[in-house]
Amino acid sequence: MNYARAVAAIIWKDLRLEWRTGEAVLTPALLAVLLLLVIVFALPPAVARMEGVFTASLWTAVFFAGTVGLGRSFARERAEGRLWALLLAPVDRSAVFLAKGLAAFLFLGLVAVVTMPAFFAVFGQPLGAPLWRWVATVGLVLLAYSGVGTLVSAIAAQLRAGEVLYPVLLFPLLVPVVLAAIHLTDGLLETGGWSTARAWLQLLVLYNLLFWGVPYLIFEYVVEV
Amino acid sequence: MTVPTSRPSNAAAWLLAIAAPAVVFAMYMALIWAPDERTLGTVQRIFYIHVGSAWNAYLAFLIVFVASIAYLLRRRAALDAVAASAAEMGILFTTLTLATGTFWARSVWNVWWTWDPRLTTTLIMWFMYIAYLLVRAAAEGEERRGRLAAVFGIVAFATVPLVHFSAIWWRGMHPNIVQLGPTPRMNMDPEMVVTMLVAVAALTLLHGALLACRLNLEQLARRAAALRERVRLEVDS
Amino acid sequence: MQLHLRAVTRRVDGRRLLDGVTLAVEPGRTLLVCGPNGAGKSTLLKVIAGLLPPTGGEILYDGRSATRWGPGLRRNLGVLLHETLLYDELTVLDNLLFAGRLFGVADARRRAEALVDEVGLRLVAREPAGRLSRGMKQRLALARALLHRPRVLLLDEPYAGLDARWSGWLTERLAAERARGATVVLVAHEWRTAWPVADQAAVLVRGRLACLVDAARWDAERFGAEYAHWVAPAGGTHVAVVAGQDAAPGKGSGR
Repeated sequence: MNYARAVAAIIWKDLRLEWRTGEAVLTPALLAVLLLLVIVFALPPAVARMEGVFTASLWTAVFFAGTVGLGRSFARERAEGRLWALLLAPVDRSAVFLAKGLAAFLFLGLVAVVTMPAFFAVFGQPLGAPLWRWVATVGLVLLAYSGVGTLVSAIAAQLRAGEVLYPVLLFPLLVPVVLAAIHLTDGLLETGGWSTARAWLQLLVLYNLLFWGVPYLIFEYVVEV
Repeated sequence: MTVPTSRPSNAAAWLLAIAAPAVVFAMYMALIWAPDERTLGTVQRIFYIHVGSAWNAYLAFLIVFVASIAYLLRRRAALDAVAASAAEMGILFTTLTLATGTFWARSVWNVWWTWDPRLTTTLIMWFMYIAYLLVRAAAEGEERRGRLAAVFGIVAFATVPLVHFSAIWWRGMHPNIVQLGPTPRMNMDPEMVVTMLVAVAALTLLHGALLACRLNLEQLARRAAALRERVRLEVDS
Repeated sequence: MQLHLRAVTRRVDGRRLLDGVTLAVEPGRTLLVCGPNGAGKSTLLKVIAGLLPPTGGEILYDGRSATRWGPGLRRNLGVLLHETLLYDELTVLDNLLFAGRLFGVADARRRAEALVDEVGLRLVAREPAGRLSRGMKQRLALARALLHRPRVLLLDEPYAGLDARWSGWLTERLAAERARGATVVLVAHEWRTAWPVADQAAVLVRGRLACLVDAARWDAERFGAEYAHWVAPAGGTHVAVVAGQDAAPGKGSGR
């Protein structure tokens, strides 16, 4: 199907570009680890062992470092009219959103793979739950993040000083995801499962439906260049 | 080159004429007529403005949402003007809600801020409105500005219910609380209910009046911009 | 593919970038669009390509409105813009491969390799596109436009940055495309270079079609004289009715 092939082509292109520039995985991952250091320096050791501090630090680092790569998603298509090249593709424009969103998800996943073990190690935090639950939870959170992040990136790329504005536009919308991430991971650490945080899981699923469904439907309006 | 010719409407003047006495009347009821609350005393009266502001803050956001959808479908500049004006009204009432909430918290619990779910949601909404206005400020060209702001307005509003529930569950509060105010212990005499409704109505009228005034301003600003553009083109050629 | 524009208008923020442009290009024919800076030539091309929506009028391909065709229509369009549309960090070959995959070209790799050779970029095929000279980038961009064998070519200043040898190549290539039955719309500020390949020539002034002529019946000198007249600052926006000119269906809509 042409649509699927176009989506695959754009993802392939972004992967290729990432291999050359490292701006969506390498830089954010480094930033996240640096943030980890800052947090470790900033917190007194007794505080670091307190309940909830680990997840708060972890997600603060991931969400902030993530904006660096996510914001670039559409910003890099600004130069040389590259977005037009994507818009010329003989498929519905929602394909551009899907491709960019999925690529972002992939990149964020890689950032998490690097960052999270570092956090666990430095804080001396045991896993507390089977790995598959962690993967599923973090995956759902990052999926939501990449959905809303890609949409806002497409908007910000058309604004003056868009890359600077990007976090300011993104974070108010991201609040439910941040809260869900913290509660779900706290639940995993304490109980090893989702029993205490079912509602948050539902919220996250709803959020994903919203921020993948709506952009899919209205992306044509977003990039009407 | 066409210049928008719609004249500033008189609706603003009429609405102001109705709203002003309504607000005065509501204040009379809230500050004098309504009975003192049993446990909290006079301070509780802030509640009337607080509820009225909160209601209008959400209403304004809803207007932004509807106008944004309509703009994307119809592309009429007037709809974009409505969205922009409503957003400013939203910031106004959101700020008022936050401020009255702060006074309440200080008076009743002796803290400057409380993470009550509705206040929390209102705070996030405040940031969303600001972001909306930033999008408008940073977009170049009327078409782009209207379009991008509309998209942002739509997704921002759609997020509000999620933010609301997040805020409720965040502090472990039971979602079944009847939301009549931050203090579940408060008893509502029928006179207080009436006062509250009057306050809400008066503030809504005020909202409408201010919105109309702001719309007038917006229309005038667009006319001025169009005229400036026309002069520039004449000078160019 | 037959391309037909009917009273196409584009207004942005109250300004008319395009105003009632009507013209038709038959398959196998080449239309040259020229005019002064800011006339709307690039805008016209982008509107035809579907990158900018027209605020009025319609664009018909083979008699069917572009909106009714849907996104699949773009499979038939090969576009060259002022901007290169290239990814500086990707290699020459990767840029072409990407274009091929994006357009669903079945033999994308084979086509990419063939075009790399045709535009003489074999030696730099694995270099990042950002390192190419202006002329090389132009050739790569042209290769990109031709990759998926489009039936309609929309080219904005295709000769820009090309030296004599490659200009010659382009002229031959365009002739080959004509022979193939492709429809070509070519925007050129410096119209003389493109005159040999043109079947029709249109002059766009301030968004309006000042004239549309059959290039076969005019020579370059005569067109040049008329061109200077049409783009003159004073009274240059009226429609010129000149004997022997070939009118597009529905033309005469000027003010």
